[in-house]
Amino acid sequence: MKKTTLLLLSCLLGFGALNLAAGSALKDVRQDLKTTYSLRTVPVPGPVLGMAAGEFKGIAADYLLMEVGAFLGSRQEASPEDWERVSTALEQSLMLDPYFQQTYLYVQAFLTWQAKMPEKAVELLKISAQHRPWDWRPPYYIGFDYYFFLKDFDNASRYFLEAGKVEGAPVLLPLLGARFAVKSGRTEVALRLLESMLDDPTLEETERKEISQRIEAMKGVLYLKAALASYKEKEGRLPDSLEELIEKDIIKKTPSNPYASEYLYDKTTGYVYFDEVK
Amino acid sequence: MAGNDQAAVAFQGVWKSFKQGRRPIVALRGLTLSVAIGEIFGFLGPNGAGKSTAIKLLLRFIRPDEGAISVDGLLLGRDQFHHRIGYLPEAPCFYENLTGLETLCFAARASGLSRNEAETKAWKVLEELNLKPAGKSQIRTYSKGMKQRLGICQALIHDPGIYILDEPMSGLDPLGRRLITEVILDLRKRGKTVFFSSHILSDAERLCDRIGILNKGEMLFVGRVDEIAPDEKTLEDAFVKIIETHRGAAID
Amino acid sequence: MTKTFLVAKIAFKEGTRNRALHGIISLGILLFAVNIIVTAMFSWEMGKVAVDMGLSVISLAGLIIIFFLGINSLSNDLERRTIYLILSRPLTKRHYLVGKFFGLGLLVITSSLVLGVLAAVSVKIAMYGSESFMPAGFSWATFCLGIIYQTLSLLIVLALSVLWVTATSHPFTALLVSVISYLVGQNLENVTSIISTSKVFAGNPFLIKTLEWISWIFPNLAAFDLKTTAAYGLPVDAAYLALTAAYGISYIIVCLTIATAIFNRRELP
Repeated sequence: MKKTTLLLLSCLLGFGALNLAAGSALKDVRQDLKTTYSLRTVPVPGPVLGMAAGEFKGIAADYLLMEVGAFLGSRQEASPEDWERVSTALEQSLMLDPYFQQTYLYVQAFLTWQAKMPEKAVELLKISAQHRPWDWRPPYYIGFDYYFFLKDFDNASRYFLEAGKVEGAPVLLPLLGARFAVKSGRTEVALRLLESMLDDPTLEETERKEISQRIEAMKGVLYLKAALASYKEKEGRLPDSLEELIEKDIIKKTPSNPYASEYLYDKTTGYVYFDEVK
Repeated sequence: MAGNDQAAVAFQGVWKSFKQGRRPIVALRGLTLSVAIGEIFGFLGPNGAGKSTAIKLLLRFIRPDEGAISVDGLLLGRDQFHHRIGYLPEAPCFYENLTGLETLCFAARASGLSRNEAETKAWKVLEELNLKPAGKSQIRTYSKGMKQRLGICQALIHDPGIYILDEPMSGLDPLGRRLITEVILDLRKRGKTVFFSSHILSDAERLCDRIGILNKGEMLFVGRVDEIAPDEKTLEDAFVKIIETHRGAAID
Repeated sequence: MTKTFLVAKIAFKEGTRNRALHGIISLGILLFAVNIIVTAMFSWEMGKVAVDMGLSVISLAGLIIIFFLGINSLSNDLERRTIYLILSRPLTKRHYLVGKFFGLGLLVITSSLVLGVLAAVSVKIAMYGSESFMPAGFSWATFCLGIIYQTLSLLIVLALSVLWVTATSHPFTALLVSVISYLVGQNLENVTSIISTSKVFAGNPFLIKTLEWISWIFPNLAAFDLKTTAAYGLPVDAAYLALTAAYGISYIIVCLTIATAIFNRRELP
């Protein structure tokens, strides 16, 4: 009796300790793994995936989006292969549930600016646009991507106008569509886009701040461009530096740049930038 | 005679075989038997003799290959007869999550009693079989003996004229057996017919007006207990002798 | 009708006291708690995720009830001979089968009802304070329609399972064939449309013909899946709903009729 108790007790203690040790070691290993957490996507066509999901397509789509979200959240930078996987996952999610707003927002947020796959983004956004005729955002994003990334003003104008037709769409959209038809006001359009994004009550505080800063920077650019134009009108040439605008009393001071100490100016072309990217 | 108005239960030349794999196994070979109204009939035989098969045929759970069966003058397969009988299956299984009372009420209602009648009757038979305290407990809390007694309850509840009991004494302690014996004797007093199978010969000896001995699907003997083999001292001796004689004959 | 009702009543009572059912319902409740967490992980149209989860849990619970509880209950009756207690009464095999279907069906309906209310509560909680994130067209009426049609589809699966239990000799076979029928029913429409529009199979009229035949045999369960419709509040057509209901109910009746015909021929040794 006593012997059995002893045996059981030693087993419990011994293996218990082993389990704790192994468990904590495993946790460390898993922690390391997390830094290389990769998105698992199965390269299967949408219809096949739909079959596997059966009547649970909706939550399968949600699951894929959560995977994408977790992946993008856990990683500082992503390789082109990673972006390829993200795009596959988003595409599959759209196949399972072509209606979901979160999907096309992810598409627009990540596949364009960061992944530099605007063509793919447009392709996926078109699926959303087709299934959400009540929503002006998908065609608006398509128009923006055509304009901003693909420099296809024709299509941009077409989609902006389409978006403008949706009930509840901002009045700006048809105006933009009209302006694109004459190919002008690139900065202004981007500014308008950003301003319209600020109206969204769902923005996170950090996102809101980011957008506000960009708006401020773009406004600064527009302000300086106008000043440069009047300088040129007055002097018949472009100034060598932005300080000359103050010296000539065209402006009181240069606007503050949220991204750097001051704005960058290219005196040969007359362009103004708020960051290094040209 | 089968279909005879006098007979409570009648088999007329009944054959039944089952397919086991490819080979058919003959369970009953031309069984002919008649049980009179008001009779207590013991259906005896070793394991695998075909007793259960005969009883399942009687309940129409299975159908004969050949021959006719009638209950209370009603021909099976043509007439409705289930309202005339009370049946106790061998080792009865119930819905374990229902209470004894619910099971009995269902049985009574299914046999055509009204809701109020069913409940009154249910409590009455529960009391008769010493199950009253367990009436509102779920059956999964019942012992094997209690289930057997509940089985008897549901055979009695609608007060039919004919009782078909498959191994009514199995799984019971001596007290339970005494209880069932009393129930059967009471049924006899009230002029009911009881057809029961058993392999416990002493019970049969005490209770039966007549017995039938079945072996390998054939009826070896039908008659009063004292007629079976007057030379032998006990029914058990007589039973063994008659089965062994049959076996010997089969080998020859 | 009274006799069928009697069988239905005990089948339902027996089912409601089954611990497995309590487990399934508890699991459902747990999943609703998960729903609230998962929904919080999305920042757009979270309402859709909440509704999706809610309706999927109801479906899943119903399927588990049918495949495990339902098929088990039917095959236990046969294996343990509990059915003797029913068929030794003036009840026919039809009373038994139809009664069982109604009893188990009521169990599925109850589960859908209870989980449906809980799903609605979980959607409410998950969306508390962010009601504007419900998809634009969402309405509780479509949500209820989604649950009703989903339950109807579950009842079809139940009727098919009853049929398979009577037609096969082993409970596992019945379970397997029922699950396969469910999967085929969910996907047949999809597969047929892929194959008939794909160029690869264009030269194979035999395949297309076969699929067409199969689609007459198996139920088109995809037609009853209104989860997406409910989640986004997409417009529903009354004629479509009526047609689907007629299709589903007639399918159930045909299934039970065939099951009774098979069961009447079957011996119960």
